[in-house]
Amino acid sequence: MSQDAAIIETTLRSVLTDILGIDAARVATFVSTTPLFGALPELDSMAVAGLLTELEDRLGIVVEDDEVDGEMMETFGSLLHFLRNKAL
Amino acid sequence: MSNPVADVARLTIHGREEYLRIVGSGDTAAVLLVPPLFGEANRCRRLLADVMAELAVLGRGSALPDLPGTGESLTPFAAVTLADWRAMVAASAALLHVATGRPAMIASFRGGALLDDAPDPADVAGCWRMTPVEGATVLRELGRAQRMAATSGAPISGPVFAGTALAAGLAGALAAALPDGAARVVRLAGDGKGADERLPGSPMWRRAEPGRDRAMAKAIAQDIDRMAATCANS
Repeated sequence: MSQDAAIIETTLRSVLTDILGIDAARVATFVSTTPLFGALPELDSMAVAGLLTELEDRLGIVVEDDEVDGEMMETFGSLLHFLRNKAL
Repeated sequence: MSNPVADVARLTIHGREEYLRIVGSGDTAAVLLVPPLFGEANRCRRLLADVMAELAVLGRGSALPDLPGTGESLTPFAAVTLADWRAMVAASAALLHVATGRPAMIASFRGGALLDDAPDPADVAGCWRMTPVEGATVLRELGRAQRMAATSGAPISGPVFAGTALAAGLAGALAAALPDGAARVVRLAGDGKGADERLPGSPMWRRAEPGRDRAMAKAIAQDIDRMAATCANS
């Protein structure tokens, strides 16, 4: 894994902790198949807005609303994949 | 404060009664906290209350306005303009100046930085801003939250908050609003943008559920207090 790819993963974990209020120790256990949208009660549609905006700020990316769907947010791995495609 | 003031001061803004909560006392300049705008204000209410308590521990009084149309204000939100919010901040600074006999420190958060240049400069000892944002950014984030939370029902054109359309005098004025004037800018440690100081904590204004961070509140209060101590007449 490149250094930049690792930074994106670290950023995603800290944003999940900061925005959703999920304990950092629990977020550290997330693997690529860990389900997110529909599985985390903290992650409702309003929380998605805050989560994406914070990720945009920290990663210096822009996410269009029509790129946001259930598939992209389905798992930790799918969200990470989306962010790496955007940022790298 | 040298002249005690009510816990809740009543101010008349453009003909309507509005409320300013005042906490603490001390023979020093008071701090006027200017909250973030819209939903961010609700998420930061606990944080701002904790900052007021920490300022009181440091012997510094503080005040927090309910911006017209928000909190305890009886003004209908649909009628609120940016000029109303700016007038509220100006009147609050003037009241603190009279109450303490000293110009107030203004500490604004996020979109609150779009209001902190409204007071008469004679009422202000200095401005402190946490993660200030431009008005266009505030509107963009409001629009995203609105689209993400879209439910059935007649769509409302233009920016909406809590199901109520923003008045033209709010949306239009916000679109062009920028933080103005000199200020000490503080940001969170994870924020890459330029700042005079970085403080520990997380972006409480974007939390899915309102959170509490006493350490963050303490760090904020201490930084505001340090700046206030260096300002003239403090």
